Amino acid sequence: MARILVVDDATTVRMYYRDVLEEAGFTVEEAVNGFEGLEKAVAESFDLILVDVNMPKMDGYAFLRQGRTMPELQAVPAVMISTESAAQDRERAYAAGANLYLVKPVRPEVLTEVATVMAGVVP
Amino acid sequence: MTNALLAQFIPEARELLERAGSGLLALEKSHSAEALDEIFRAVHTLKGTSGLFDIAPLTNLVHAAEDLLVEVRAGKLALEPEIVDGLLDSLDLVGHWIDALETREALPDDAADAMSGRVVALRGWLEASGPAAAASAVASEAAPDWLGALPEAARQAAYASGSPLVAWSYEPDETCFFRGDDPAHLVEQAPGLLGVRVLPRETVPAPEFCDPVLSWLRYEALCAAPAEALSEHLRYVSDQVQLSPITPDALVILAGPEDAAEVFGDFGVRARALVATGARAELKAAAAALLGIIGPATRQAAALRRIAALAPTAAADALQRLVAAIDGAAPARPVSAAMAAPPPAVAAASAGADAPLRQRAEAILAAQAEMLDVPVEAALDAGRRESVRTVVLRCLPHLAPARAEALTAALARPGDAAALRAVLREGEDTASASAVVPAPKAVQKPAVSTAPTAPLTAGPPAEASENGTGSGAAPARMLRVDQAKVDTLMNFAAELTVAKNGLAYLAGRVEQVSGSRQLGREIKEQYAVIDRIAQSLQVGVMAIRMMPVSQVFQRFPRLVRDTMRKLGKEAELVIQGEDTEADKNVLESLADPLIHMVRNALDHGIETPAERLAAGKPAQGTLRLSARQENDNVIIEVADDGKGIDPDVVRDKAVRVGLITPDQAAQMAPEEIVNLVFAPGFSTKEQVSDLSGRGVGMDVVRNAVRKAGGDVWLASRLGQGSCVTVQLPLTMAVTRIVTVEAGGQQYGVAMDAVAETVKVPLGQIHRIKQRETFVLRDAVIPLVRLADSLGLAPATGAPPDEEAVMVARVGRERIGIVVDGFRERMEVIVRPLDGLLAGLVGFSGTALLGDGRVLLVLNLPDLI
Repeated sequence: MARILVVDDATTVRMYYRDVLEEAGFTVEEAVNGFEGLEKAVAESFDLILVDVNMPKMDGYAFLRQGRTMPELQAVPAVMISTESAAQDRERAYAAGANLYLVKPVRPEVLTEVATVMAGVVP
Repeated sequence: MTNALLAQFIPEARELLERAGSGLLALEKSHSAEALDEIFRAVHTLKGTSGLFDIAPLTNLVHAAEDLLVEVRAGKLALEPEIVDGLLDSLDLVGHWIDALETREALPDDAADAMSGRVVALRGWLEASGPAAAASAVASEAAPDWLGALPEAARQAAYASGSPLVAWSYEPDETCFFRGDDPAHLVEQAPGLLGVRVLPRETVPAPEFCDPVLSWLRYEALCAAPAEALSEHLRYVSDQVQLSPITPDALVILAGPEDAAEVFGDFGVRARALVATGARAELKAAAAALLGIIGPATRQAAALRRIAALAPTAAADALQRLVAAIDGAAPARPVSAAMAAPPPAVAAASAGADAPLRQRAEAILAAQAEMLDVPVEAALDAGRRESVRTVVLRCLPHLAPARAEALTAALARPGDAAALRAVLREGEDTASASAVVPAPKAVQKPAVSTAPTAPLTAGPPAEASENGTGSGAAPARMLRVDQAKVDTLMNFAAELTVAKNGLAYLAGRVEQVSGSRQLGREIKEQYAVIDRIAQSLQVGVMAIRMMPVSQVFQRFPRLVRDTMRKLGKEAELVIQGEDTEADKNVLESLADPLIHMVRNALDHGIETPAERLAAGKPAQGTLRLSARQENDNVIIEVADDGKGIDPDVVRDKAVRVGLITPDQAAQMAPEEIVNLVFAPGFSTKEQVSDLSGRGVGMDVVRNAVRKAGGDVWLASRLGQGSCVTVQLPLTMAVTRIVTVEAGGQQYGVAMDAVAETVKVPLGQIHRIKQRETFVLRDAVIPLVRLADSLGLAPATGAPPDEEAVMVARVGRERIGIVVDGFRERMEVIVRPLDGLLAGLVGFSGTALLGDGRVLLVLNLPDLI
């Protein structure tokens, strides 16, 4: 069972991801900021990480940059999900180490497809 | 799922609004970057989360507020009080919308109109701070799929115009002509109209059924104007219009079949060089030349026409994208757009594997190529390549075999990043070509109105602790419970408390009837056990309903600020004891009276800065709002250091309006006089004030507080300020009473009101000015005979040689109430009188006794 870590400070958003992804058969863990995300990501292993940009304590960029330097995390695919759609926001996400940049709100079928491919679910 | 999600969103949104609102108030007092970040984050999160629901007006309004905050945060815009007002008003409006979402799962009907008004105001400050900021604010939405159907000339004009662009569609209501609408005129008059097409609606009735006087049209138009200007222009038909602000890039829609001639490759190489060297005239000539030799209907021809038209003026990267669209070397649109929707045409063409997933995998691969193009710190590079490797490997099973093989081969040469990138890009042709005509189906947002959602408790915000949780600290485990469930539990606990009283009665009966003292004692012992459990249960359930007073207090910083701004006064609000807890119902009963008292204090109490300085006080007044618990009561005080209440003015006024006689006035102490402001119909302020009404509110306050089983009184010192004290029971569910007898009847009196009970020998009762009094520990206490007050015949028989007196607290006064005798103490549920009895004065309600009798419970303040 593929495991996905959702890092977002908005409870409703986390609940939305959880609803959609669990429906599609994934196991979902939540973290409310980058700091907690790193702790959880190191303690348990995940197949995919979905991360918000703007969060208290540690934002998504810092989370990704830190993750890409850590042996446990550097190979884990990460999707950054933001409300901003400008090109420079996407580049910032890539520069921090995101493998994909999606703009909120992400439709359920897009989320499911992206998770299926990137978390390595073989058809 | 949807309703649970909405139920989750509502309290979260409220908390975010609250955080943003109080942050703004704090920011106004003293600037702090952290406070600004906090506000920004709250608004930003609200915007992002609201996007999950189909509530565009709310999202748009919050978006506008966020844009304004971005400017403030960047230091480009000063946070003037007017801007704070505008932001607070917008947050209020969003708050109302959240209320509407909670009750009817939809925004109010006028939300779109209300939104556009606010957005115009917010954007007004943005534009004042810099036009660039305003323009960027609308340049992010998805383009509608019909954009390509607009005349190419219109799209070219739009691309060159450089102003904000809005694509919009308008399906006039069928009956619009009967309402005086003129859709064609409305469209023609739209600001910055560049192009429009008119077509029949998707569903038009068959000709024989089609009513010719109804409208069956749909307009699709492109305007070079800000979205706000358009929504203003279309405000009366906003429900029939869809606005999509678009970027100029979205207009690069190249329709037509593909022409795969080699000539395009040659053109691409040359054109790139020309763009790079800035030889725009030659580029234009080259494009024109190529146009002359290819068919006009291909998509390359469309791109060439555009290059020819834009070569002298367009930015280099825009031209590069157009060139790429001709020779297919790069996507014509950003990859993110390719992510937006898998185009059905390509999906249908792919054989074998799950087509959407194949499409998705290609888009993800394209993103890996784009990611590898972005320069990165050396420390991250190894990790990033590792992650790309993982992603590519996971994409392989979804791809066509040949493509998977090529990628596997590229991955086998880990040193050759350029080769991997090139292979990654190979899939882009299909992805990007199909993305050129995007098909963004309406985002499938969870519908907001379906089945009824479970009601929500307005419990303490669970997320507050969560958001502030640091590493390691486990978030407090909270349970959201439907309030009705807690109320039901509370009622049962209260019923149990009352029912157990029946056991005490039963014990008495056993002793009387069977004469068995032993059995009676055993029942009493059992009663004590049940009594203890029932009390614990009641305390436990009550604790669930207890909420901190801060729930009521939190609105006051805003109220005080707004009121002071209106009045041109200055006051600091000091809040104390906001952690004090009380029953939710009690707090709710307190909310409105408290607003009234605070407004009164600000309006009538605190003086203008000039008056205060003249009186030797600091220009800024102080309003103190405090809460504390005393026994079974919550005490709330509203104290100001304003001008106080002049007892002489109150006395004159009270006599003039006939509230008291001049004789009574002469006898009353100043403290009693000022409390006359609570009398019905009393007003110290002659003129009507916009803020606190006509000053008649204080009797309303007293009524509301007494209804909740409490009392209110006022203390004032002329020139130094006033203090209104509200005393409320901690809970309204169960009342401890003592039963008293008067005129042969039994009545209940709330224990809260009883200070003590004493036996007073007849000889110690003296008449002072036609009123009976007695002395209790050096204080003269007036006596009232309960039987007289209730209009009952006095007890017959010889007068006793001492009277049973209950000393009651009414406000801050003590009054002795003469009764025929005291009976037992018990806990009861007091049910308010209803029906015909509702008008009875002097009773707070009825209670059912253990033996089935009904007891009237007195309301002493009313009675005396």
